[in-house]
Amino acid sequence: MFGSGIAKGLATTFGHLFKPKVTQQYPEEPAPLAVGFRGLPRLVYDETPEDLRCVACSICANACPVDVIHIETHRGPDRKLVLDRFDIEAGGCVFCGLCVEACPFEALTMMHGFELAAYNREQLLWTKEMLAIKATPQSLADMERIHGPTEKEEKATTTPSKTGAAAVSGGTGGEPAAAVASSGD
Amino acid sequence: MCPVQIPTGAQADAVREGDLLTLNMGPQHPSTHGVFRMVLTLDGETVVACRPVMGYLHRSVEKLAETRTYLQDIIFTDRLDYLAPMTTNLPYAMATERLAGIEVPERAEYVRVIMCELQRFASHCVAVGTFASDTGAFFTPMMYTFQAREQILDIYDQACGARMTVSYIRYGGVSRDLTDEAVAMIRRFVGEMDRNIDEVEAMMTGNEIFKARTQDIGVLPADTALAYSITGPMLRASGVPYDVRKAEPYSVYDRFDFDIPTRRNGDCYDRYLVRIAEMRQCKRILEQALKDLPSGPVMGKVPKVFRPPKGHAYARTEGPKGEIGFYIESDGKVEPYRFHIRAPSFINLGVLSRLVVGHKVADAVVILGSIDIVMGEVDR
Repeated sequence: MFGSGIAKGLATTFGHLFKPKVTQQYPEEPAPLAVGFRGLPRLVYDETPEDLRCVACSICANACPVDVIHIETHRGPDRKLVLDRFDIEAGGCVFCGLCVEACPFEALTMMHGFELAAYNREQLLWTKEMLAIKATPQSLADMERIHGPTEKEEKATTTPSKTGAAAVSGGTGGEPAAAVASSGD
Repeated sequence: MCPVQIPTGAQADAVREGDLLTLNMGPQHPSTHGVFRMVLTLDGETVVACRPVMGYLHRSVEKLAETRTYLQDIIFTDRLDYLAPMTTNLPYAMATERLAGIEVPERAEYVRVIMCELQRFASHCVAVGTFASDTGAFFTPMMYTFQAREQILDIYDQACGARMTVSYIRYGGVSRDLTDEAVAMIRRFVGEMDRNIDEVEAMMTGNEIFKARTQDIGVLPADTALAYSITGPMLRASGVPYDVRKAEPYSVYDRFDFDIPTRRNGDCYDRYLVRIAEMRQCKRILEQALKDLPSGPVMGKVPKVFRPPKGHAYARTEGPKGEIGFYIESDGKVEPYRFHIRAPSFINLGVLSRLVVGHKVADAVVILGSIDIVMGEVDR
């Protein structure tokens, strides 16, 4: 019959009106990201931003396949390494997460921020002041997911004191998850 | 042998030579699936010769990989076939495991199979969707296939924190365990797979316009396919039932019951049908793998400083585009001495200049689409 094909086609179109929406209003309503999403790298501190967990061992810089982590140190009065510079060239970062996996002190994590566009290359050099972030339950959960099973097992057996410290700091960072997500931008 | 003298060197967009016209198709052409150039010599609308020009995306991956450690090299395997990173991770991991003699836990093997079969489905989704676009069904089938692919990418996001540059399959196992949430997502997706394939098939299989554009176009006889060492769906569409998963079972593929779909004609339509049939086989494998998924560790014993003994190893797997192989030679250092990739896209592309001769320009686009190339893998 004439027009039956059109009616059939439009029935499909109108049928979609009553189906649940799949589109997301992205900038206004960001989609939830998975735990352990490999986004913006951050340096973790427990109490103050000056007192980073990082001990400047450069394991992350050696693990980086694209050599974008730059670390400069000097010996402090107590012969310990003091971190002078910890820069990540975000323009070259491939977000592989190998630095986070390599870090033996859980000092480096990857947050949910992914809107990292910049107007010039200078803005893509992230210093340690920009990267510092307080440890929160969410960031620790992300870190645990990125670290993977073998890392965790090893930690539990070899350095029990370290995991104990992480658990304590996880308890102190009682910020709501939403605040963390916004600070990751 | 090409019947005419093919002009070499950089050409202007079109150069007249007697009655023949030389046409540069690409490198910036939406139908070439990336930066790939075909120098076509035309007699009217008919292609009399074709010279493929590649290398626009060359990143020297093999050489770069020789300057980095074995763990760091995984990120390069993500970026070879960027539409199927999981299936490119796997042969590299297998080759390294053979080199160093690492045992992979059972659960990791199952997770690998699940991820690779999802990846095969996702890659075929892209292949079928873009192929439909090449034949003129502008973007509608692609939207349907990409909807299914998007769900797979979400599963990857859940499993490893990234959608495409996954770096998930490592030597020794996989980088993270599958969460219950991820398993639930996979189960939900597997339940919808048949509906996804049916939707695409309703649009394309048996469609008269689609058949007119693809049947008897770019016919590849079985003996030619073998002579050019074609692998993957392209070879099976020519009637050779060769699949590494059956020919040389790796991982835990010997435990699953699945078929190798083949067709006889070897034309573009058959290649499409083989891909669709393979997508249905993906579902069969996934169902069995999810049913048997054991618990336990997902990472074997891998030393912190990974330094495999002197020697060499080759591992091959069946990727969505064909046989992917990694040859790795170690001289006992932390980085590989030689890192070679057998890229199926590149080898399958070798037969292109034979397939397009005698067809129209519009058919050249369809033939290229049916080969299903990814330039990241072709140029490496």
